[in-house]
Amino acid sequence: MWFYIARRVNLFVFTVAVLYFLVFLMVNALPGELATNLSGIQNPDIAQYDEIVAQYQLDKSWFNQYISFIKQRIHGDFGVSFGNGQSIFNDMLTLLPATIELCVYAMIIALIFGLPLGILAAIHYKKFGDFFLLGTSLIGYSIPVFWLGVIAIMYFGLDLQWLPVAGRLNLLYQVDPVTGFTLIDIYLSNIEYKQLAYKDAFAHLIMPTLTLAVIPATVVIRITRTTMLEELNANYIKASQARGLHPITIIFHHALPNAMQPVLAQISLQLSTLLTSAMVTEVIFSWPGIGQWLIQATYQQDYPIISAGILVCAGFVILVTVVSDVLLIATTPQRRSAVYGSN
Amino acid sequence: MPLLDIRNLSIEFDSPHGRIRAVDRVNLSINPGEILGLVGESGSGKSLVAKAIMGILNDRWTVSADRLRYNGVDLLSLSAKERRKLMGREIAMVFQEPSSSLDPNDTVGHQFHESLPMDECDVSFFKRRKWRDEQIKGLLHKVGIRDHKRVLKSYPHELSEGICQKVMIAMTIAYKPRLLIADEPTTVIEAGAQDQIFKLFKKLNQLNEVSILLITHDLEHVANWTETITVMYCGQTVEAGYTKDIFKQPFHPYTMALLQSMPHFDDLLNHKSQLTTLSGCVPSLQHLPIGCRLGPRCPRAHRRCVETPSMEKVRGHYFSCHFPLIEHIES
Amino acid sequence: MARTNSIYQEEVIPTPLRHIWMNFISYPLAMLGLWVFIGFLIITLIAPFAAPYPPELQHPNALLYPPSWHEDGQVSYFLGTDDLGRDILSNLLHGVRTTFGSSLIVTIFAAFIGIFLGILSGMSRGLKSSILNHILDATLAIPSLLLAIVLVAISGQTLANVMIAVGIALVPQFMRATHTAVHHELTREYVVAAKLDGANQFQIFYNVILPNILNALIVQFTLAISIAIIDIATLGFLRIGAPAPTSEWGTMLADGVDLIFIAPWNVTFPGMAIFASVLAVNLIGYGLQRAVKEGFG
Repeated sequence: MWFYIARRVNLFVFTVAVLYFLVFLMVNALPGELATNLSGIQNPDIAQYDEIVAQYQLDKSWFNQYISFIKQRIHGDFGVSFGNGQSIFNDMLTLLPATIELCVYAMIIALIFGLPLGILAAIHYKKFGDFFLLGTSLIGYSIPVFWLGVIAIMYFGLDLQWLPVAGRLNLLYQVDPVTGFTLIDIYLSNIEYKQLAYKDAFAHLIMPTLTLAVIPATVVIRITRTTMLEELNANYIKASQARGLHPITIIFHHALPNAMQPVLAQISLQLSTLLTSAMVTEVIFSWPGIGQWLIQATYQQDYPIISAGILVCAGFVILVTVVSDVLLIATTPQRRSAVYGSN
Repeated sequence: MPLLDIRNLSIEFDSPHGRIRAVDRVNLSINPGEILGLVGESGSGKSLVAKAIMGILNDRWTVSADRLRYNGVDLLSLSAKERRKLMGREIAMVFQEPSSSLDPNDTVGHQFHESLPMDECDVSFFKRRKWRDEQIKGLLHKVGIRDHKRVLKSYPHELSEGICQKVMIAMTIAYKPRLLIADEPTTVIEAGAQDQIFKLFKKLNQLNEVSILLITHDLEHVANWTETITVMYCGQTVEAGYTKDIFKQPFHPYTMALLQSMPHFDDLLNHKSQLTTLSGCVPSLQHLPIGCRLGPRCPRAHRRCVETPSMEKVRGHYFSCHFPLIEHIES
Repeated sequence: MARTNSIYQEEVIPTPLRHIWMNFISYPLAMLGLWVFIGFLIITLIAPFAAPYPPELQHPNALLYPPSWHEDGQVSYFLGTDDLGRDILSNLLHGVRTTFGSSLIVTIFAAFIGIFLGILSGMSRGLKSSILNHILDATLAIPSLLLAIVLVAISGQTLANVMIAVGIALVPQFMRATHTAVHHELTREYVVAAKLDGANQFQIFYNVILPNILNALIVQFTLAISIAIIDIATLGFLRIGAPAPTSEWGTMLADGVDLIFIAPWNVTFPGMAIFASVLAVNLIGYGLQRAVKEGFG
């Protein structure tokens, strides 16, 4: 198994290298001075220019440029932004957790709702429950996320005034951003009125998370239903029925764990779509995350931020894919032997 | 009283082409302590009959019968819960591909623990695990698996089919059933293990009075290991009776064709001569012939064969044919 | 007349394609999706003739009219007007061309390129396949929106660039689907049999693999159309899409957000249009998936 993990890590490294190459090509294609786009310093003077050339090896071959591009980025130097001249890396550190928080919570909600509903749909195959759930999931899959967000804001935020429409936390609560995840930070901080702070953070979280969770939930329902149907028709389920095992035991101890594997595999494939929806959701709800930062940067044509954003987002997706792959292999014996058997 | 008594069992399902009767008025009866062989080609509906007895068919199939009784209890009128109690306790089933009958992502030992009956466990809560382990070890030794530790720790795909089938049998006899249905148990197993499994069946039958319904298409197994046979063709019972009688003198043309299709290598066959088979092939479910389903292929068919022949009995030997292979019928 | 001696009825077995079509027709929901899709297609072609007004035409004395069934509405502005006096219905109809029509074109091109590349990478083995796979993984990891943003940033904001950007974002998905399908097919035994028969790579591909992956490809195609529609609309909503005078549903929605309280129909109608078109495509895709699965079951 360690051999397989080593292969996976190798894959990760290689894929990231390819990613860096693609971004490198993009940066070279952006309009404007290459030195400016790489470092973020507009109109550099002679000293700064020389420094940039030395850092990014702009006087040597493209291969050297590519290698030094990787080196700079890995050391945390993403340059500064055109807009405010701040270090992009520091900005990212505060913004990335916000986006991750949104994505993770949305995924969890999607799983919590999607899995049971998918199982229900499989059990009621070709009956009313199945059709109803399929129809709902089709409809949910077809609603554009920005429309849903706007309508949610209009209804819950402005019309009924139940929930706040922007930001992560009311500015009244001074919470130190230790980890960047609001709920954890509230827990770790020592302000008074912690309960109220939790309630406030939660109220801010609900709408964006639920809006974001709709599409993954529908995907989970569909995939769970398909895999559960396949499993429920398998031989070993019939054999367990013949042994007289209780149906609930059969579903939850045997069918479900086997059906989970493709579901989890599909989820990691959905990650980049989830990020796209997350970015749009952040814009609508003014959620201070990577997505909103990137979109603002696009309006202002802030190229260093855009290229940094791609690196971070795509890198994150690749990392999660590889980690989930390794976890999947570690926990499913059948896949393991299939991996050893074939190539 | 027969242990399992089936009269006019019909299994139908709805297809785009209409209502198809896959199994047409099949009769079957097994006495306690008897080994019955249910013989037929693939597609003759034998597995359907077995699954109907166990009650594990999909909702798509409709099962109807004049009598479907186990030990006097009408199986069709039981609720799901009562059916489940019956299955596994009194009636057990072993399937064709044993390694796919086990959960591929669970160790054999864990699955065995799950399906072990706890009714006779009379030890305290803490000693239960050890008691279960002892039981499992005993069962595995009984079926002929010596290295039980290795088998219990493995996953199904790591074991050979023969060992998997023995494990399946061990799981079923844990409940001490009175009827064991074996659906082509040795088709995918290598020859040496096949023998062991049949010997195991025989041992169970003789020592524990377990009746066995052996479903197979292999006539040699049937000849060696069964006492009575029921022959099915295309969903209809064709002949039934004692193995010795049928093999000595089959009454139905289909049974005769089956027996003739087994090449006897002790006779001198002509070089490059054709093996004897019936012409034609098994009809597809959408185009079943009316009346006797062997009609189109039967060498002795006449016009009368468009009516389904009823079952007749001659000295304990049942057959359903208008033109059987006997010179005269003693009524 | 030739008569066969067989007493079996002649069985007419439909070809798989026809079987799928017959199956598809029997699902009313999928047929509904198909009709709506055809409706949108027709509008794409006849929009300039069907729209009552040119979409950019502003009516200074007809600002923010509600839809005609409202008491303040007028039939001549059937679905109302926006804050610049532009008729919403005309904008919607022209938007069909922009959002729906261009996503169709984009998907077709992306399908050709993606499937071709996917077949190449699927049929190759060893190191070449491995490298192509890694490149594919890297491109797939980049969110499509980001890819589109970068491409628009590089080459400027026009409708053509937006279409190219969305197309480039779609190609990896086709590649991935084709690659997986081809790889799966190559493990089948009839491919080995064909190879033993002496078929070369191209013959194996054309005769053995292609007919079997066609179904997966068709399903992926419908999926990609819906993704393309949503992507183009999202880009429009974020105002990175087609520039101002072009009527596009996402842009209309974005314009309507400011007016959401006083004139909610500016948000509802474009949203419903996007929803309807995506739902129709998804229904077709779902019907096809079911028909394909049951066609061989």
